Amino acid sequence: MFVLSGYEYFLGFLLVCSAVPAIAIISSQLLRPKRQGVERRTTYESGMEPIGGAWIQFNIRYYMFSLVFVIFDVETVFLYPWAVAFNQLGLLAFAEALVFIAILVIGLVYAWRKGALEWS
Amino acid sequence: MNLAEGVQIVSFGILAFMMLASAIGVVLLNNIVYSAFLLGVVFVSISGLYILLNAAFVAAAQILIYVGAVNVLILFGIMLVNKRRDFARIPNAWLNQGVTALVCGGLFALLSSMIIATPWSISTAPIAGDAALVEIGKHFFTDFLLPFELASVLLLMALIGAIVIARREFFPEEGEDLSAESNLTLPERPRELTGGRR
Amino acid sequence: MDSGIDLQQSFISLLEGLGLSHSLAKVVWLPLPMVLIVGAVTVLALVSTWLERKVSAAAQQRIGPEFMGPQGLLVPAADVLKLLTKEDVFPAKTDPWLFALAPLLVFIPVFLSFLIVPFGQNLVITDLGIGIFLWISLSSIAPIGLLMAGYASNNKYSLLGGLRAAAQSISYEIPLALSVLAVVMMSNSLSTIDIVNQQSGYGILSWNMWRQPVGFLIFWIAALAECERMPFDLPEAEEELVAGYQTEYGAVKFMLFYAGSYANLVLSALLFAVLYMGGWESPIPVSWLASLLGVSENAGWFQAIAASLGIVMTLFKAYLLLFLAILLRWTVPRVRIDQLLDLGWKFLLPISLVNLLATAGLKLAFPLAFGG
Repeated sequence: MFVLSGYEYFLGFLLVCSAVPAIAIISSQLLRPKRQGVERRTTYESGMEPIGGAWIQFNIRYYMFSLVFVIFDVETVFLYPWAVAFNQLGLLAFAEALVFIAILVIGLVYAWRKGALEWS
Repeated sequence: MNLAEGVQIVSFGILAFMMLASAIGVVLLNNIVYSAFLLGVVFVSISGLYILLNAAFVAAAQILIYVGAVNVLILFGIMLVNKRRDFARIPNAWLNQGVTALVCGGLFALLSSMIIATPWSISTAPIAGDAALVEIGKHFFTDFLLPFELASVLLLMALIGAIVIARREFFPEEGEDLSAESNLTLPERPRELTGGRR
Repeated sequence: MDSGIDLQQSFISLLEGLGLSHSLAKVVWLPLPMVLIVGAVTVLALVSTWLERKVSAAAQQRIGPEFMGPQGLLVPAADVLKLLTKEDVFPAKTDPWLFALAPLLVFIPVFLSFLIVPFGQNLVITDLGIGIFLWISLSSIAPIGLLMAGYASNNKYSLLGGLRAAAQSISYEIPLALSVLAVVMMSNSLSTIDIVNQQSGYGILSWNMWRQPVGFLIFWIAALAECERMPFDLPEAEEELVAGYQTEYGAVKFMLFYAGSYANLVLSALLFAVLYMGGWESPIPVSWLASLLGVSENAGWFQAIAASLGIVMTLFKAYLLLFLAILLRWTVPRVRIDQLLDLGWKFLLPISLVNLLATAGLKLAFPLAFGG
């Protein structure tokens, strides 16, 4: 049994929002010129002949940041029920959330000290 | 059957098909980047199924964590080692594949027999719907307090473990890279790997 | 506070009066507000591109667009026509599927988020229970689209821009979510309608910006970073990365990115107005005005005026913020990527955690002032 309210609008709006780019793309299909050349399909590299491909290895840093991000994202999600129900929970819940956050702040400090949050 | 129920059944069908098709795609496609993007589709479809199960907050959290964080992490990880290499053909590959199929099939049979055999105690409490978030909050701070705090410890362990492993993998220990440096005869000293040690 | 015009109820009862069943009448009503909002958002985004040109020009003591329509107002329309009629080039080395899909992944979540933006008590498509959390979770899809665009283009600038954009987006998502959380805590609800109603009563004095001065700044900085606006526009830093992940995109696909980014800016400004500046509430409460003028609050014409005033107020606040964002573009220099990540992780994240805990503490100490 479906009890949530308002999701018929969600579904409808998803369809409407998907229709907008579809209309744009279809109308552009009808309007645009169709010429194809080899030169214009080369990859842009400041007007030079492109050297090598772009599918190469890149900086490890991005990976480290997304690792820390996953942890704190989960933490944020855990805090949402706490915040919404806070007026019915009282002082004890405040202390408990303080412990929860404090444990994760230790993680943040660790990541900070170990250089996981350094770019260079 | 009224209109709303019809829409729900059709959405369920579409979501289930999307999920299964993209899950199969994740496994079977050769391009690992496609697999990663299709994994995002799997997560989005699961989130749609959560909405159909009256769990709106879980659905949104699913998108936020799995699509927004885990999938991005996987993509970064893949692009980090994204070298388009052709793997050498293994002789007798069929043997490995056969064993893998056998193990996977056995696991599937085991899990599905367990699902069928378990007497699921389905809660008879009224569906919370939009009030579910407050209920979750109350449970977190009463009967599920210990798991809640343990989740924080688990997250801390995951963070520290990930940093330790990542540092060991990508940043050579001190003293290790000096020998490699002396072997190079380039006029230019190779630049230090971005400083992880201090 | 439940007074005000309810267009949905009156429309449905009108159709039922014509002999349609209730569910059929609802289905007929369903697409109307959606199409209206999508059209309005498109216009708002186009207006903000015009505003960007005009304000930028004024900041540099130029005149800006002038000849196309009065004050160059038709320039955005000309932009759309131009981009629609351009040839759609797929560079040879791209991954065509992902290349075509990426703009959609950036565009659709932004537009979908307008589902929960209220323009009045009943002037919202739907008042979802998860409200503002829908926006937070939908905005987390964007990094996937940016990475996809960067990867699929197979261009070095694009890949670097896409990676930077995704890293920037994830770095500022947590401060953003935590500052929203502090507001949510004060209104005890995720629903955008409840958040605005919690700020009503004393006009400008009861807005959240006074009770959340730190969260207010964190949200604004993080929202600018999420929109890739000027101090934080590294992903498309034109001097170094040409146009970042958009380098290989042209014609209609570029238009989708462009529209998506401006719609995202408008969305952030609107939600900023809703979260911190009282949404549709005017600085002087409408009910005070009504008693001052000696008119009944329930008179039909008064309610119509109040509803229009609400829409005007929401848009006025949002455009004030947009104006601020455009001015910032010409007043502050771009940050470097290490500064950007330091600001996000080492400054905004701890501050927003402290802000959240401080809000919780103040709520315990002064339940009346912080939403009991």
